[in-house]
Amino acid sequence: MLTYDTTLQAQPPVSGTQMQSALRGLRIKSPYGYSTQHQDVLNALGDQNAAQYQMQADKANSQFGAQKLNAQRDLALQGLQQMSQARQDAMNLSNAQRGMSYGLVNSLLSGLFH
Amino acid sequence: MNNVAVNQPPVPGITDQSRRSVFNNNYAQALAAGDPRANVKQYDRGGISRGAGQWQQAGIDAAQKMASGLADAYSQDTQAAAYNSQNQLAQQQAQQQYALQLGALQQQDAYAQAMANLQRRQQSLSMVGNLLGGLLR
Repeated sequence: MLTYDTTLQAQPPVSGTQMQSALRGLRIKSPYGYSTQHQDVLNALGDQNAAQYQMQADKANSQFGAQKLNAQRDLALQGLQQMSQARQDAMNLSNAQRGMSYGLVNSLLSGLFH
Repeated sequence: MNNVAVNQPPVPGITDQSRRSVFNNNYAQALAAGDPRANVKQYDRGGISRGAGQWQQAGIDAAQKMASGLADAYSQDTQAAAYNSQNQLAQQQAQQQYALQLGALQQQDAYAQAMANLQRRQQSLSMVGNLLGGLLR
């Protein structure tokens, strides 16, 4: 089975570790320790931004995955087409060789039985 | 003669160092903008000392700026990562296609050579066949 995993080694944009790190970073605890309301607003916005980030990261990973799959298919198809062409060429060559032998025998036999 | 190597090193995309630098700057900017002290001045009124209301509003503004700045920092970093991934994939795909096309070209060339050789042999044998056929007649 052709996977092209060794030739198409590009990795998805956002790994699980990066995602977790970003989600933690977006839900930051204010370094200013200023007021409850300050932190409450930050918490609410942090949750909202984390959800949006996750969606954005999922979308980027999904787009990349689809591109990689298309690339794998294109390469596999191209390779199979070339193999088919090579097989056809080999058969053409073999038929031509056989035709040449038959032609020679045919000439000789037609001379003998003329 | 084809001088283009199949296994060429990839053209680098956005470097890790560059990404980290942009992210760290954006992150620091977001934290600085999220300091309530940086947001209270706009609520100052001449002749009136700052009160709890101004500080409260400054705290809310600061939280919004910090959250927005952090979201931008992470979003920009993800976009850079996506660019790098797609760039690498496109290069690897192009390299693989180049190798496939080069292989196909070599196969076509070998086939053309073999057919040409066969035709030459066919011409010689045809002449021999005709001669023998005539002699035996």
